[in-house]
Amino acid sequence: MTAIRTIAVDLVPLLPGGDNGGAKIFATHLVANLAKLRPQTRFVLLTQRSAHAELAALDAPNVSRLMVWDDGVILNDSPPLSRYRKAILRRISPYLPDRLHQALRRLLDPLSLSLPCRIGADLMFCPFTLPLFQDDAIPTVSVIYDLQYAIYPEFFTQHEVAERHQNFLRACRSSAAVTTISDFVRDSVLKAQVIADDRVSTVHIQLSQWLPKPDDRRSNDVLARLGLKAGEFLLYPANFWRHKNHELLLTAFAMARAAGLASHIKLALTGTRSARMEELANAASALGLEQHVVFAGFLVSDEYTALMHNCLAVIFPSLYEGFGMPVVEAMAAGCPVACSNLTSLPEVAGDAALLFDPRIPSRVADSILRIASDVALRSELVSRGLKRAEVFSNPRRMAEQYWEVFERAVAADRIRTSLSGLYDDGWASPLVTMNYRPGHSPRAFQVELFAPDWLPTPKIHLDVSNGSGKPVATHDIRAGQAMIVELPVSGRAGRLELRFSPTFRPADSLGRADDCNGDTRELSVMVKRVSIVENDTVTTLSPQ
Amino acid sequence: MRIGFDVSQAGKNKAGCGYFADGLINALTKQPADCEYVLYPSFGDFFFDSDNSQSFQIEQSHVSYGPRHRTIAEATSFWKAADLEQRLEGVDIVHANNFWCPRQPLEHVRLVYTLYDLSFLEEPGWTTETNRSGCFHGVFGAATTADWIVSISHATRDHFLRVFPSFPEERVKVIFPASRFSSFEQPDARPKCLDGVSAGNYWLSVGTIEPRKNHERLLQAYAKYRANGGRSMPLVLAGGSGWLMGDFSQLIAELGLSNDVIVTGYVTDQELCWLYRNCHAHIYVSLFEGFGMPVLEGMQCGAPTIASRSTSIPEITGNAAILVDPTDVDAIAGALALISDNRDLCRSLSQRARAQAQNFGWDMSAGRLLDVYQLAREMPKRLARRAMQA
Repeated sequence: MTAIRTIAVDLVPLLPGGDNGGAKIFATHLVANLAKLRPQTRFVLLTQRSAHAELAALDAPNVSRLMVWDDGVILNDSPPLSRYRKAILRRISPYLPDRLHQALRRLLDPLSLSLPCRIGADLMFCPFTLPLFQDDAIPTVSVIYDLQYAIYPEFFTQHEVAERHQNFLRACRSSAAVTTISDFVRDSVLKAQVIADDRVSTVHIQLSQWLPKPDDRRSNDVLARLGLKAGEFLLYPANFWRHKNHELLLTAFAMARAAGLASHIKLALTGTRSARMEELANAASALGLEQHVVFAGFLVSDEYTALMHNCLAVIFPSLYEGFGMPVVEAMAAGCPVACSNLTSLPEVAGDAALLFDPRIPSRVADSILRIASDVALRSELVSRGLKRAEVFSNPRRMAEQYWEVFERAVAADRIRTSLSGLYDDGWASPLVTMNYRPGHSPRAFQVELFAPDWLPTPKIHLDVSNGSGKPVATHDIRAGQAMIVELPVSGRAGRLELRFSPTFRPADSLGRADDCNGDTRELSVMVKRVSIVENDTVTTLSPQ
Repeated sequence: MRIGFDVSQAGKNKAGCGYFADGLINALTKQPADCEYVLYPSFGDFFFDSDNSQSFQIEQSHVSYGPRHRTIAEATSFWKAADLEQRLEGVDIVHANNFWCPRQPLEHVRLVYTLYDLSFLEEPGWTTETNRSGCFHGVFGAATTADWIVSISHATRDHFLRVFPSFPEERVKVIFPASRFSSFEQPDARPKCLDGVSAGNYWLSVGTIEPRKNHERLLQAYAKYRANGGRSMPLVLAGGSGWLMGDFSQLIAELGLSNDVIVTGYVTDQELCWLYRNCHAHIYVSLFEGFGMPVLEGMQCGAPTIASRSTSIPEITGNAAILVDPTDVDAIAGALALISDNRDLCRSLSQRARAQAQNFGWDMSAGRLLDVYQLAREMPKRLARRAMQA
């Protein structure tokens, strides 16, 4: 077991207030519990200026904050190194062992090192998926929340889809390990075929307290303000994004009313005021639901908890979730829950919710009618729900699971010279990265390439650069050709990046979708073998 | 009266929905009526045919064209603009035909919306999630902002009113489509892939191969009919290939029918007409239809017809076909046996089919649609007061 002495936690995307939604609650909880679990490990939280002060709540003997981002600018507080010192360093460094070299650089020329290196981090943890600071010598663990953009691209702009996809690919390629917040998301990640299954782990979200206890006076105030009566309204706690499926819920609510739902029962919708909310409010009026649908607008947390604790039931017809935190919140609050049976929701709800297909209005309407009229059903769901919420109320267990992922990531990283961008079947993606540890000079990589003759383009170009982006070599390989590329490297740790272009997708280029089984990977050439030759020893890294 | 009419799906590569707009607009523009038509080659953000947008053309004096957009982004930007009504420049009616519905409040323009079917609410797995989501978004828009709904069958109308019980039923009108075959004198041509198969000696089923069309049960019924000693006439499946074709070939092989089932793939209108005219019978056992065009086409060509009792199909067949429960393989096999050697029954069904098919026609439908437009202009908007408040 290798000791992880320092972990850098990238909380730069964390904003003050509620803009990060559930992800912020989860991330801060996780950090607090990790710190408690591992008092011998130092946690350095990387923050942006606007949230820096708020995160003081996490300060502890082993937790410190470092502001590294201010309105788009990366901050650093080290003075620039004089040219004289830099010259000395360059003269002596070839003679120093690697670890000492690193330590000396940290002392004398910190800005030449990445920020994680400067902090002395053994691991970089990115609870908001995309690593902002990248150093290939330091293993990264990223959290992936969902791949909604891939299933519902029409709910995003083209730019957003492209950006999210690039972020996803980067997180998978540059992380030593990735965690997902549900098995559903894990399956989606694996289907994309950009990361091996032993590098993706599911760790469910766990909180010690899912909702604060309600205050009776506050509850009465907010209910009165919104025109709601305790036990006489259904609640859908969700913002007005398309995947939350509000239009279908309104349709189903109207159907339920026409089918005999008790007339006094209202539907309360949370979610901030916006053009989309206005559109839905107009639609509710057009469906004759004006008097029965309450748009609560933005709620502070004790108003939100008041609604949760006083509703008749929570209805959750979301089309897509990565986890579904509001479902667990509702169960922890003792609400009976009727929810969608798609994506991660069956996994999270277990047998403690009434499940329905959220794409079929009559099914949603039937569930509304059942839950509103059947007292015994509600009672059963409440008791199952409280038990189910317990399953997600052990944040120490979540911290332990993350710690296991961290340890495996660090250990795996120490063992191998990492090779990324190659698939198990020998195909390469457009970027193949080879990170190598210190070793004996002279040495060279041998990369055996093969370009099948049926490739869509006659020639593939290869650019090789090192970790600083400096070009090292270029090669061309023709379709139908095999070749061995020799890439000498120094004795120091470093990185080579092999970029191939053009690329192709089998499903698009070859026009035989069924033969390719819908293979939508972006591919370049085949890499038959990667070896490193040191003195006279040949160590083959791929295939393993 | 100036009528804005969505022809976005009526381009060269028409799918089912496109035939409705195409058939109607051609018939409408021929009717004597004091109407001007503004045709929209692109409409909304859900469907876009860049070829059609540039090229759709009807050459008549009272027909003009709305904006021709080069990309779906341009079309979206126009059709979702807050000032859409101003941009529509004095049309009295806008008629939506591709599932998309404008949601902006329209103070004067009457919004007429064609509703084809709600199959995506019945069984979401019958289509892609993108299509389902877009179709529902459009129908919901219609339920909240359209003034009049034109439904292509009573079954669809009833389904819509069950899902949206607050929509005034008197504002949902049924206007049937008609067959794409211009007349009973439609020229035909024998398809090449039918070599070795003689006229009158094959069963026919027309339609894309997809789960909703229920080909799996049709094959099982045919296999049962043959196993029970049924006459060895091949089963011809005509129409474009749908999805799951690989599984389908495997199913045919598993049932031992590889030598008895002919999958024609795409056929031209003329070939299709020949197939209908010369089949022993046309079998259409789809699980769910908004209308069921192949049934009407077959009947128009005099094909003795076996069809499902489901959704809208009985509205087409009346008593002129043998109706079966499409989930009952034995019933389908029984119908095949009934019809296979009974010449009199075949002749009777053929005559009755032609007669029944006379109840449908584009001129008839266009006439009814003009009545709806008149009514729409005379009556107030459905939600006049609310539209102005919003």
